[in-house]
Amino acid sequence: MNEEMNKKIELLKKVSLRLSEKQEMKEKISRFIDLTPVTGNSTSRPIQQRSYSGLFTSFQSLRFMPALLILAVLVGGGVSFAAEGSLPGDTLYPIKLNVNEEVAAALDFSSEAKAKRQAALAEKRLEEAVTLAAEGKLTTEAKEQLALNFEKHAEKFEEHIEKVSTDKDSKTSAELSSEFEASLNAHETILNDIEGETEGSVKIAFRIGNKAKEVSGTRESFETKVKGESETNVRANAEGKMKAAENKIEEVRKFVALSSEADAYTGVDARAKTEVANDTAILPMSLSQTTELTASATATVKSKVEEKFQAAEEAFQEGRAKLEASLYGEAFALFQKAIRLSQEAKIVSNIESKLKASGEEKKSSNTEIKVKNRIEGKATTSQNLRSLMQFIGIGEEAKNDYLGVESDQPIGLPACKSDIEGHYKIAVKYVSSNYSGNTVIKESALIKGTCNNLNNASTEFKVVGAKSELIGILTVDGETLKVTFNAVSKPLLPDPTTLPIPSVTGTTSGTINTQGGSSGINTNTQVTNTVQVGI
Amino acid sequence: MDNQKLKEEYLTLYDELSDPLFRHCYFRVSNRDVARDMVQDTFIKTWQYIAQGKDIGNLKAFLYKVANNLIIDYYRKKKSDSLDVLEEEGMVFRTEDDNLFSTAEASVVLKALQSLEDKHREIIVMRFLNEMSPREIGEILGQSENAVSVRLNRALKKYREVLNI
Repeated sequence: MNEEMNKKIELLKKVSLRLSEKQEMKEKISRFIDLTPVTGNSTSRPIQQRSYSGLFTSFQSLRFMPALLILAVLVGGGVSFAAEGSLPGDTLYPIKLNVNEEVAAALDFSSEAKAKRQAALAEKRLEEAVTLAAEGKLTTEAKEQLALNFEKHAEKFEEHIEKVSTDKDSKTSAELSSEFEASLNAHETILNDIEGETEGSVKIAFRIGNKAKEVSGTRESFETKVKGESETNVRANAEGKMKAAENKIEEVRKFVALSSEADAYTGVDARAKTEVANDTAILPMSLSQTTELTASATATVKSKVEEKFQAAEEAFQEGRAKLEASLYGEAFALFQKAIRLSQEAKIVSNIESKLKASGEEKKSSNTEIKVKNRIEGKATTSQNLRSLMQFIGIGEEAKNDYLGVESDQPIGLPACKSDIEGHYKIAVKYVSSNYSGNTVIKESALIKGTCNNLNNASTEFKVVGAKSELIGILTVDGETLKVTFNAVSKPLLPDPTTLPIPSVTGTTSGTINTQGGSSGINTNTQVTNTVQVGI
Repeated sequence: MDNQKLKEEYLTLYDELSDPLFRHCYFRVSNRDVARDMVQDTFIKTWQYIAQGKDIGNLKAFLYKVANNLIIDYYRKKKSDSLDVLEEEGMVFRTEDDNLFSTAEASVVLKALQSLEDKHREIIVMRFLNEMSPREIGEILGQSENAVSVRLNRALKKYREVLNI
């Protein structure tokens, strides 16, 4: 460190919190500490003082007996956590609204964070409405409760969003409003479809629609403000937005393509599932309802997704024309529209697949994770076909015992020649799992191996446990043919602890169905693998 | 140790570490508001662990680890949100934060730091801005003292190159 460097470093030290911020934050943390007292045997917990400035640097808890530890965890905030997954009508639902969400909201700092929080809470109500509606449990009472709470948060959002434009800029306000609007429109679409079959009471979709109009008005007023900025600014904003819109459209195009393939895929899966279901004595009543509901809604939803996506592309083209004509403000608004509509398409398609998934989830009963590998490519020779089948092996070193094929050399992926959009080399899809009593949220395949570059696929799922979420990622490596399982445990507010991270202990088993295409050239091979996971 | 006493100690630690942690986050996410919220989250989340009577070990190192996890979460979320956000906010240095620095020189120094690789930037901030010892840094990053020194050397070399000194 020479003199000059020292001087420069000193300059950087000016980066610091403002005094007022520091104080405000301290008060918030202090309040939080009061709300979250130390549980268990805290009064006698020794705190060791170590070298660091004489402050406590080490917390060493007493060595609890396991039973005692469990007790302490149960006592400390277990209720408010358990409330997190509750729905209207549940005993714990008021705790979720009044304790969990209020505490979390009280911790937000900037107006932007506050606005985002309110939007998220409003969306949460809509998701709850969708869940209830899909289960046929959206009573008039629950509907009213959800709608009122939703409107409350939507109104707060509008208050905060005004502040964002003064605290930060109108562009951010316009963007946040646009995002919120997309979510409102998407949920309106979904609920409209589900509610369409229930008659009588006032539709929640209708109330969402009204809010969406308000938010839309707000968004437009911010866009007008953005338009009124200096020409260089507006131009930069519009050009930035164009790129963003381009990316968004591309992202959603892929997403929608993948989930429609996954749907086709679920079709095969459903047959197998039915067999399982027949063997299982206890089946939740709501299951059949869910299936019917989603089946009837699927067709209309599909076309809605396409419709929205097409409109997004049109808006994008219009925006480009405006940009070329140097009408930057209008271009900005149109690109926002393109992003919004793509996002709507994505949300609608996403909710749709989640609704489907929720039916299957309820059937699993063991601690296991099932994944499905699927490979699609062109097999022109029997050699290729063999490697196709071998590739699908899952587990240690991909021994493929069940194929009866010994492979002592690494097997490369077969050549992938398809130019068709959405065709992929390998995809892995999470099918089901059970985490003894915890809720599992399925995510569809996240990464797929494309013909040109990616050689691996992974799937992600979320386990919502008593006090934390566990995110598991299963990856199939296209080069080494190895399957790896990674899990990240993430503590949840307001009282987190960690779920045990499972280790993959078992191997896999499965069956293979090969289907020759019309000329025997196209081959679809599917395997269901079960990875045993021990906790 | 009663709750009140614990609280006082924790808040004293807050006084001492909030700025260093803020810097730590700020130089990673380049956004003042985000960094500030992260500092708050760090202290909240850490307290939640303490409140459960968990064995935390070195608290200072623990706070940094929590902050690091928040930073990782932030980027992971950004990635899954969409590319546009990442491009718009994350990767570019935001000029609106320039008011932190009144002089042109400071802004050059900052931008130079910003241009370094993540791992280099992180270690410079920890060692020189936040004045942590290589041993402490090693504990947070899960590396040996020696490895930290090697990385630090490389980072400094790069930084000098960028700054042309």
